[in-house]
Amino acid sequence: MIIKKITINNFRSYYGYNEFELKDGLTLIIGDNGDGKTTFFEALEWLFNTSTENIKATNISAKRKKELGDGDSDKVVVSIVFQHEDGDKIVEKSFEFTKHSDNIITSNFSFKGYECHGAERSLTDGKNLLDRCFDYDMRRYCLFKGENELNVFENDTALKALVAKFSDIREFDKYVDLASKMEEKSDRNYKRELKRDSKNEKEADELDKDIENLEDKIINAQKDLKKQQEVSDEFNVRIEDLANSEEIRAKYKQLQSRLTTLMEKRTHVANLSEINYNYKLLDDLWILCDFPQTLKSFQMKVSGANRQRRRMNDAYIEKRGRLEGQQDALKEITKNQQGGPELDWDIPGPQVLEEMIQDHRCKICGHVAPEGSTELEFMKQRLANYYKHIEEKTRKINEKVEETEKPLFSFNYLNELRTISTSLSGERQREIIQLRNVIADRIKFVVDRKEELKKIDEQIEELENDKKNLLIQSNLSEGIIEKDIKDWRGYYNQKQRADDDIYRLKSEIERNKEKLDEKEQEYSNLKPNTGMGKVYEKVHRVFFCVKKAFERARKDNLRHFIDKLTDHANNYLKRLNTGDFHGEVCIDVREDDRARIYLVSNGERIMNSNGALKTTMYMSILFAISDITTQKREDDYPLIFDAPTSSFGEIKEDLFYNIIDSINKQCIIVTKDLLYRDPETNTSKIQEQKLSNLKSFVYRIQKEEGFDSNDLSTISTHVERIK
Amino acid sequence: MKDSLFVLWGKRNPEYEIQFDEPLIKQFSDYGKGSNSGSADRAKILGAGYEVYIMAFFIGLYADKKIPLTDDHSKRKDLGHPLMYWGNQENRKNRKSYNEIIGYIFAALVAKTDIDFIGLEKGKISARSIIDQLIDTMEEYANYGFSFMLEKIDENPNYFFNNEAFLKIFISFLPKDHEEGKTWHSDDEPDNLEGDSAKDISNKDSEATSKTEEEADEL
Repeated sequence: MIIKKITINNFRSYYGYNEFELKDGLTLIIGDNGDGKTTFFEALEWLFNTSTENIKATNISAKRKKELGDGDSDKVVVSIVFQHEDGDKIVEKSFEFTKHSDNIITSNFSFKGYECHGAERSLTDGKNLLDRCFDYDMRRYCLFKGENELNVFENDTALKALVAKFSDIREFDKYVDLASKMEEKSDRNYKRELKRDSKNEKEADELDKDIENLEDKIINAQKDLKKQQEVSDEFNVRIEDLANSEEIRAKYKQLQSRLTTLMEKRTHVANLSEINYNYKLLDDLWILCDFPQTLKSFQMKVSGANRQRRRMNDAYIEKRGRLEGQQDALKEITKNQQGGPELDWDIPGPQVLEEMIQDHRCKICGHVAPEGSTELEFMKQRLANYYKHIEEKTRKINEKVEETEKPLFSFNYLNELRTISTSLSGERQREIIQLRNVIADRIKFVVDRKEELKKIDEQIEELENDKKNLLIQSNLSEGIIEKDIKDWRGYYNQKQRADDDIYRLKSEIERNKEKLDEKEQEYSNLKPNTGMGKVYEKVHRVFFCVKKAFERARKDNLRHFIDKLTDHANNYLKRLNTGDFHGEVCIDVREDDRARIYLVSNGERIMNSNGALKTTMYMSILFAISDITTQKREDDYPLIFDAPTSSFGEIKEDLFYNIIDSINKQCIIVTKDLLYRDPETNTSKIQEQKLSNLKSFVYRIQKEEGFDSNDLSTISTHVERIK
Repeated sequence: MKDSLFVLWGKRNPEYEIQFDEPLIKQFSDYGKGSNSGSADRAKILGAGYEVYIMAFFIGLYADKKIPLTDDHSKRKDLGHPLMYWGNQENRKNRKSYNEIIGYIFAALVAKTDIDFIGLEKGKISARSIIDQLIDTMEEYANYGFSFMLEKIDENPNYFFNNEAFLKIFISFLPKDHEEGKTWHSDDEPDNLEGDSAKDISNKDSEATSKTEEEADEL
């Protein structure tokens, strides 16, 4: 089935008649958000869904509904023209809608088919035609919305259904069933005959018990195996989910680690910038910043007072010295009263006077001074006065000397002050003088730290925003990411334990099956003695071999189908990841024919493959399914994807479209890739250059201009083929 | 042996006017709350009551303005904390002892008080009367400082609850930077000190600073 044309009429935003001619290869339908991409996809889903009518009024173009007058009618129609086997076919699904007093009534659902034979075409049932040309079961491998729906084997019955439909296993199943029944019956009869023989009875009973025992063990092990496979699958899904968000977690951890470092730095810088200036004024004596002048005054005052004190003291000592000199002089005079130094010639000394008094004669004028004479009395009087004067002077000087022997100052408080002054000078004084610089430096330091703090806060805000954006983009909460980080190891360990159990149980089952075969062989080796027994033995042996042959053939057939699917998928995977790492697709088929797909590298499962690689893996499987389920090109069916490349980077995206373009398979991709935002007009534009490399048809869908952003009935999708 | 002037002075409790008790001392310090007061005290900008007194004293000293205390002794009180212990009982978190400040306060009082040293040395004037003089000087400077602070909070009750308020006041007393015309004069609301550029402080009258330093060295 190759779709040649799709028409959509009045289906939601597809107002009126819209037509898409398709290529037998890649057709791109490009539109921005809200331009009608998903509506296009859902119109096809509606058409391909043959199980329900679904004529809901919500599927009708709001613009068309509004236009209708009371009692007016129109139709919603979605149709495809496709080529299949002997000619073109058309399937058309439609219903009518009528406006009655502002209510829309839907009616006359129709699903028609047309088969074209040359110029003629014959009407047929649309459902039957579609089911005939496009197998219902295969439609699950046709339409894919987003990247999440691509894993078709997520559904446990998918592989079974696929295998049942497109391999020869179904044929084998009939023979396996028949052979099993025959073998079972012959076995029963054979054993019954054996037990009739008393010679073999005991041995047969024991073998029965052993076989029963082994079968029980195998059944139990298979149950356990299934359980462990479910456990492994469950944790695998969790790990896969976590692997999907591994990049996010890594980014989160990186952001969180940077945030933690910044927060620590912030605390440190905040501590440095938080300064209590009042405490600094007191504890670090910043309050003395203006003290140098006062200190200088203090020092000068103390120094001045000390100088004054010293001067006074010196004067005092000098004075005492002088007095002591005088005292010494008087002492000398007194001491020399006998034999002391002579006075000048005109001043008679005490010795001359005494001689003159004794001689009764004046030695100066030569006059005689007899006893009782005035001259003698004068001389006596003069001598007495002299001694009196000397005595008086000596007494006074002695008194003064005695007085100056006491210190001038009774106290020496100034010495204490000088000590204080000295203690406040030198290094301490320099520290006080430097205080203003210390304060200035500290304030500058705090200003710098506050600036630094601002920058850190900006960085923190930036990181917080990055974190917020990461959480929004990943649609995860911080709590979940934190929990995932913790859970990762736990999940991995639990899965590992389950896988170990699976390995152990598989080995156990294999061993027990071998033992069972041995027991069966032992059974076969028991030689019946009766004639019927011998016949049954041969019959049973034949059926046993036939059953085994069919079982093996079935298994080989399934393996062959899976190998073929894997080969095709790997071929596509390689092409879709040209020049990039891709690993290999592995389809793991379980005992119960359920399948799991994953990538392996050197036999090891790749646990954290990126989103784009995973998408190309699932697409490769889809292409491979399409390849091996269609014998002829005409039997092929289109693959229709809605936004399959959201996890792709730009380079990967370009490569992807170029490869899809070159694959001999009909693909319809609805996407907003290959658009860019024109900053001048603030509208989205097509990247023409990239399109020029593609051979595909390209449609641009976009909202008709002039719509009211609050009114759905003004929205309609404009369809234009641009390539 | 007679006590030194410093020791005698250190035993004294300077007084202040009771009018400053509520609006300033109790408002800014733990005074009257006991040493193990609760969390409410963390809002206090200073620790012990004498810290407010020290601030007031240095404001008066640097402004070189004194206001005599009221003669009415019933309107005066002291902090019950002798000077010698000021600065060594601060046990708040992140605080340290700064008892050496009293040496500087004593030096300032000696510098700013008219003392008859000769009379003192000769014993004609008693040490006690000199200490009285020093205490008077201290009280008068502090009295001016308290009045200054009271004026500030009259204009803006939250003035001193700005971390930079006191520092800014003290910086305002520093010699002005003549070249740039920068001043640190206090406004009604203390400006953001850190925003004013810290270099202004270090630039202030560097000539005067070096001169002072030289003179001090000579001494």
